[in-house]
Amino acid sequence: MPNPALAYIALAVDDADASASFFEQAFGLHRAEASFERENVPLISIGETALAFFNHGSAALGDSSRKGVHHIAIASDAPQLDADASGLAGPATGHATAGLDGRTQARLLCDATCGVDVRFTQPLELPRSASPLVERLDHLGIASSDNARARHVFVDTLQCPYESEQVDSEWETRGHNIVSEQALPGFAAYPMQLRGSLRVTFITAGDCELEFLQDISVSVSADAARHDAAGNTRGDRSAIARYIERYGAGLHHLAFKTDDIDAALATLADNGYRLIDRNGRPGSRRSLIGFVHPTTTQGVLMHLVQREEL
Amino acid sequence: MALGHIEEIGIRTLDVPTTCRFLHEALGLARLDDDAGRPTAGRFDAGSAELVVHAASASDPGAPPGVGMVRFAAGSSDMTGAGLPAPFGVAPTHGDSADGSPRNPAQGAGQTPTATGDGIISLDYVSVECDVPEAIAAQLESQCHCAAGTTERVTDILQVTEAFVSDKYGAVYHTRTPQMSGGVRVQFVTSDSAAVALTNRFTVHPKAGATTQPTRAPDAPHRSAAVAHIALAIDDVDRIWAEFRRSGWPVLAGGPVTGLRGRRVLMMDPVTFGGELQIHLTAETL
Repeated sequence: MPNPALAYIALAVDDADASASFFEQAFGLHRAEASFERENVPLISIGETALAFFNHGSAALGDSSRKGVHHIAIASDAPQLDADASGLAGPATGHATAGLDGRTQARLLCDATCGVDVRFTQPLELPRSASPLVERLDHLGIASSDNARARHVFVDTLQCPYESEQVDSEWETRGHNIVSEQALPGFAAYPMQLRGSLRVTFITAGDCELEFLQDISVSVSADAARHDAAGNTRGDRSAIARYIERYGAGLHHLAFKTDDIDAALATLADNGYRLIDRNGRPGSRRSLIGFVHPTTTQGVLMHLVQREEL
Repeated sequence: MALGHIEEIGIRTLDVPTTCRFLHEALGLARLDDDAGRPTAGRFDAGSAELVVHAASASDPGAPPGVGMVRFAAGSSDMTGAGLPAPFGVAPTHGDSADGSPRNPAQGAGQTPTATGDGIISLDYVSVECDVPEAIAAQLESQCHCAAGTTERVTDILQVTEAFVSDKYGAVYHTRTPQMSGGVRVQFVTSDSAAVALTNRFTVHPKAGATTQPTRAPDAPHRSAAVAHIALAIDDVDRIWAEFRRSGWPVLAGGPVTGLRGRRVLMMDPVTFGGELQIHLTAETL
C-alpha cells in the first residue's frame, strides 16, 4: 500500500472532552463524535486526518499507560490483510478487532515499529478541516533511538515516502565579564561546547510527516578527556534522551502548520491559553516554531510551525 | 586582636590519592610530616600556608566539621569567641605558640612565600561563599583589623548557536540573544599576608534581566559549604598549563582565562579531586 494516509492520531488524555474542546475552540476546527464500545470518543478533523481523544485508561488504548500522543491509525480497506502483509504483526497482536464506530482495526507489534504504536483501520470518512489559525498537521514528533531502523520500517516496509533528513546541533559559548575597582574590566570566553545534537528524519504519512528525533549527542566534557578514568555520561542530556530513558521510544508531540506563527501565538495568548513561546523561534526545515504549554491541551505536547514548502 | 595570616587550609576530597598526587607531582608542593598526629591524608607546604588533605568520607576528629576549612594564625588561640560570622567556621589553630605566633615561624605573616618545586607557589587567597560579603568584611575590619580590598563583579554570559543541516533544506545557522545567567559579587579582605575573597553568587532572571535574590552555587552541597575555591599564586601560568597538557591533568575552560583582579587563572577541573574541590592557579602579577 504505497503512500498510506493517516486515518487518525489517538491522544490519551485525562479529560477527552475538555482536550477536544481546546482544539475546537482555540483553533476553530470541525468536531465530530465517535464511539469505542460504550465510550464516547471526540474527533477533531485537521487537514486530511483527525485527532481522536481517548480518556486515559480507555480499553481502546490497550495495556499502554502512555499519555499524550498514543498511537497512529493508518487508513486501510483491509486492515488485517495489510497488517499481515507488512510482516510487522505477530501472534501477540492477535486478530483484527472492532475500533472506532465498530470499524475493523489491526495492530502492529510496537517493538517492530520503533516504539510507535501503529494500527491499520478502516477510513473514518470525515470532512477535511482547516481554520484561519491552522492549516493542517505539519508533523508528529517521535522520540527515536534508531532513525536508520525507523527509515527501514516506515519507508521500505510500510511504503511511506522519505521526505528529508537533517542534523540539528546546539552549541554554547560561555564567558564572563569582570568589573573591578583595581584592574581594567576583563572578559574571558571559554571554548565553544556542544550542548546537544539530534538526527531528525522526516517520513511522509498522508498530508503530514513523521518526525523521528534521535539524540546523537557526544559528550565532550572534561570527564571524557580525563587521563586516568573511564568516560561517563555526565553532562546535559537532551529532552529526547530523557524522554526515552523514562518512557522508551515512541510518539512524542504534535505540530500544526500555520501561516503566521506570531499572529497565531498572539491569538492563543489573547484568548487566555498558556504558552511556552510567545514568538516563533527557529526550528527544523527552515521553520519557525512555538510551543503551547501542555496544561492547555490536557497533557498533549504540541507546537505550531510556520514554514515554506519546498 | 589582629588577624595574621592564613596558616592552614583543610581540603576535603573524594579522591585523596589523585589529589595528593596532583599537589605533589603536578604542583611540586613538598609533603610535610603530620606532626600534630591527626589522621589526615596528606599535608603539603603551599608557601605561606599549609594544605591539609582530608578524605571527605573519613571521620576525622581533627578536621573542622563542614565549613571549618580555614584556620587563621592570630593573636588568639580561640577565634570562635571573636564573634566571626558562621560561614567562616574558624577554628583555633593547632600547635600555636602561647603568644599566638604561627606554628611554622618561617612561614609567618609577611614572610616571602617559599620556593616550591620548579615555580614559586604560595597561597593567593581563599574564596569563601557567604550571603552578605560586605557585612562580613565590615566585621573583619572592625574586629580583626583586616583591610577591605577590591570589590569585583563577575557576570556569566551565555550565548547559544544552533545549526540545522538538512539534505533538502540546506544549512541554517542561528545565534540566540546572549543571556546573563548570573555571576558572583566578590569582596576581598586582606591582612598581613592573608587574603580572603568573600563571594556571593547571584542569578539573573532570563527574561526580565533583573538580579534575583542571592543564591548559593548549585553545586555548593557537593563541596565544602563555605569555601568556594582556593587560589594558589604561581609565577608562570602558561608554563604550568603546558606541563598539564603534556601530563594530562584536566582543566576547565580549555586553558587559562582572565580571572579575579584581572589576573590570568588556570582552573583545575574538580574531577581531579573527586568532583569536589576547586583549585585555581593564578598569575602572581597582572
